Amino acid sequence: MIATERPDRSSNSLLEGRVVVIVNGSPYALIMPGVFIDFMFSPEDRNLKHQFANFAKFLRILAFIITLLLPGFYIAITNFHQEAIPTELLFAIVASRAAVPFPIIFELIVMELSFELIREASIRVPSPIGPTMGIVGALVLGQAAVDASIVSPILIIIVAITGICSFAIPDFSLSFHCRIMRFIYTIMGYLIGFLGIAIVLFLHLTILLTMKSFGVPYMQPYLPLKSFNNKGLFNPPAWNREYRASFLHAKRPRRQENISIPWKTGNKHGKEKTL
Amino acid sequence: MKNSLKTAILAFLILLGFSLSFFGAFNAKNIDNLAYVVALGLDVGETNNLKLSLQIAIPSDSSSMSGSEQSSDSIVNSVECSSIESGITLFNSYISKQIDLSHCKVIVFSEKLAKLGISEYLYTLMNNIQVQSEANIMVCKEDCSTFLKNSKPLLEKMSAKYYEIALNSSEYTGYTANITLGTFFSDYTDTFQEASAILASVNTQNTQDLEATQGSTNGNLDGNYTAGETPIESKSNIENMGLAVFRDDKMVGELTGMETLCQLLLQNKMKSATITIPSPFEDDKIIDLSITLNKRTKNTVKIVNGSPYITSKIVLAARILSMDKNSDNLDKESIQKIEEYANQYLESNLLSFLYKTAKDFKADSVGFGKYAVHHFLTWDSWTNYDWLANYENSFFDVEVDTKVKSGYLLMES
Amino acid sequence: MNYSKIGTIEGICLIVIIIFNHIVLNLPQSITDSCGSSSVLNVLYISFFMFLLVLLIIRLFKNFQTQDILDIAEYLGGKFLKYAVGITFSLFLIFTFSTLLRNFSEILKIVYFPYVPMGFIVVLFLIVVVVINTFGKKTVIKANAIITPIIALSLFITFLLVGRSFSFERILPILGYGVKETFLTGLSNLFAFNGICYLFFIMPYLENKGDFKKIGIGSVVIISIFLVLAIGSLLLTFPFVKFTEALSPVYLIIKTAKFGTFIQRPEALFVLTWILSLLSYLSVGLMFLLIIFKKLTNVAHERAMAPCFATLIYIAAWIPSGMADIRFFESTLYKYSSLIFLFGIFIPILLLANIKYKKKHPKNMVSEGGDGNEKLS
Repeated sequence: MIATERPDRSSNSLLEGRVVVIVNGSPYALIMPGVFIDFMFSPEDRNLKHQFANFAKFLRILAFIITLLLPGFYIAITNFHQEAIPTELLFAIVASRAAVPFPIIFELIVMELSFELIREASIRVPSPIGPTMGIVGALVLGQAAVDASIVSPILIIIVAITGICSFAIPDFSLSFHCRIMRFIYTIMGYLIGFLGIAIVLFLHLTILLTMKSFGVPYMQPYLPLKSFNNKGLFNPPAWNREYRASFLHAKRPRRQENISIPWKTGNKHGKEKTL
Repeated sequence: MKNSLKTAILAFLILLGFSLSFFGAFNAKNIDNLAYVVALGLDVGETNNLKLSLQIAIPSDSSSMSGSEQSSDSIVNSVECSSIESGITLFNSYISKQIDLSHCKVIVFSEKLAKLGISEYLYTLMNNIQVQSEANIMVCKEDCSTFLKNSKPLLEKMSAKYYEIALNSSEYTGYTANITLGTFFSDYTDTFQEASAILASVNTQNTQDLEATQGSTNGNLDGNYTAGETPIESKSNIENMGLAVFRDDKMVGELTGMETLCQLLLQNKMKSATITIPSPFEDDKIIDLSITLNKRTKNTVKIVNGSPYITSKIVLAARILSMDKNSDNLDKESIQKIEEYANQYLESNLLSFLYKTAKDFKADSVGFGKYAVHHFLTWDSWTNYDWLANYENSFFDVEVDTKVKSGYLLMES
Repeated sequence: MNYSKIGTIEGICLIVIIIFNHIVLNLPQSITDSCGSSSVLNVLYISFFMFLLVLLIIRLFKNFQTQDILDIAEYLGGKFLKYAVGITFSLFLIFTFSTLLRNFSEILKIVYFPYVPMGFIVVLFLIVVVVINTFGKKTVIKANAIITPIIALSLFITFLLVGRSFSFERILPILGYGVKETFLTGLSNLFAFNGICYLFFIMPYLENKGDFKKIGIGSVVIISIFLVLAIGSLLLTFPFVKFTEALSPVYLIIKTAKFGTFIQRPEALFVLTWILSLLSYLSVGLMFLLIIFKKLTNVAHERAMAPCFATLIYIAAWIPSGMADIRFFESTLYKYSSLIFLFGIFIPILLLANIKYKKKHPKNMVSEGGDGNEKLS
């Protein structure tokens, strides 16, 4: 189910053929069914030109992948696959870690946990000092930790990028899911490198594939690959949104005529002709 | 919760528990516990089979201590051992961190060892999972530890970076080639050609050979140096110039810078180079030309009475670099004269190079074998002919066609 | 609904994943060992041959629209033949998977995990495969259909990147070891198309019976393209004397391919995709084992047998004592047994069953589609 507070999203979903549940007293409307790609969808996408909307969607999917995999990759590469790092970067990492007494996994877990704690704390901090708290917590504490040689600078960058990317995911519950799975990837990457990451990736993918949202497979429309009626990765332009999603089994699958925005042309004699 | 999801979670917990039980065994290769070797040197040992030298990088933090002087960024140690792997084991017991060869950029053989044969070391290095095939392979004229100790980057902070980009000079000078371990091994196991390695040496006052300018043809012979002989006034440092030609796995000779340029021209690998030809207009003047390959070099091989007859046609595009007060780059006649002189100059150099490889070295370092193979239908007939042994009986014919396109900024003076 | 329905693309992915796994391991070596520098010619030749064979199989299956090879075996020779074919093929599959798994784990252990016990790596793979099979056939098929294009892309990129170091003269001498070796004994290289064996089992699960033709032809075309690409790029890059001695030729290619000065040696990423492909292949394989088991024994919940088969594979994985044994198993035992199954068992059964069918129904040469439960007596 998708939980949304926006009326335009709910009404658009109704027109698409989904079911919306509104409860008196709760600001949220629940939309079902919700498939995976819907959680990467932002309501503004519908009103932007399709090039911009697709670019933004691509960025969000990239953010999803980075949030999930970056810490795991970092730790797998530094522990098992050092040859994959370019030589100068490797020397920079080793030099910056020279004074740090802790192993990489310990630093990573500590920094990730502190990032999560700062995030939780900043929700409940009174508003006057909220932004300051964010700046103090993130920047100053991080810088102080580097100067005290508790963590290495490269790790701060990794954690910061991961955190920023998790904010780029539109749906709150999906970003929570990423934050939890990230720890599993990190631990398996630490234990057995890329083999562990591949195994967890495969298991993760499989669990996503078994899930169903009110009878609709969660990874629709990628699988099963049955219909390509523009419900896939990319938002079609406004003049091409002709069909409703086939997994919704709508009573009227077609929502636009073949050419919904006709051109008007004039012929030689000045009469208007509609195509 | 569905049954299968329960199974999945249970299985994952089993996985995790299983992994944790083997906890301690995996972390031997932590990034902090490794000593990164940047260059590896192999030499004939005095008291044992081999003398192994390693140049180990000391990563320095560039952000801190900006004012202090640039201390050495690597150390060079040598050990006498019976093989590469036992030498590394001896090093591991001496140095605190574990030796890691994944970032080794250069593998150096000393000339003495190269003349005795390097096949077992080659195979050992190719068998090693850490050594990259992209590492450059060099033959140095003196012993390896001297060579590595004198390797100080003049313009870079790290030796690793210096090794990475130093060989790029071959793309615009043609005086050496960027030969990697993988290419060398490929050529060595190939039936089409023989291998060659980069020739390197330390360049000090003593090694500079100013006599080389008295060569066979008049005009400059700046390309006739090999590594270490270039008369450069600078602190002692290493120099890559020329190639070391191998027959099978033993080194049989050296090529000067100019001869390397000829080899690259014939192999179609020359990107651009500068040659200096005697001027057709005045006796003791010279003209510099910047040449690039206009078309692919066409090599054909015919088997005449069992001996190879090899013809090459090289088409070059040249631009005139040097000007003096009487130059005219727009006059057709003078351009034609320059082209003729350039053709003659290059043809004579190419022929002397080719006969040197055939008669003196008896090694096909250019790789004409691949143009000869189409005369044979099956693998057995090709190996029975034994191209590499028949190469010494070859006859050569070279044709160079230079087209002078223009000068640079000035057309006429 | 008992059956999961397979579409065209999913069916093709089921069959093609096999070739990807073998390309990464020892397939190129086996082919070049037999043919020398004429391997590309040989591969084109056997692809053409296989294409004709698949057309024949499709034609022969027209009379048995909803049945797989075990049902056809029962129709031909009664329960005895069905059990014989089923049990021998299951044993063959267990042998194949265990050898492949052991081979890949050896490579991983040598290159990346020298201190990790071998049994641990093998068990890890098997645990994941068992878990995925408990989710059911649909999940396995879908996961495979997602992963196969990714693997195809990564293999394609690998071969593209070595394009710079091609030297086309390496394909000469054109006839390699000789005409006989290229064209006659070279036919034994048909074992590369072993994935076609799975084509015999997927018939009952297809959504549209017309898809069978598309799946068959599509998979042969894709397998041929990748075989030619793989062997071509390996042959044109290295002198073939060199890479027949290598651990994994495609791994050598990645080590040699130049990605520019900044990205050095991203082999680890490619190895990640190979691990995914092996997991996918093993899950598909275990799924087929369970299908055969269900067909033979008619149990209600065959998924519970997944851990048992996984244990059998684990035990079989310990049979080879080292790389020499593994090579022997892969290049000799696997090669000839897959040829025996494809040509000696499955196709003759199909042919004989068709002859029997024609004798019983002399007027009705081609049966209509029928519903899923129609049994031919």
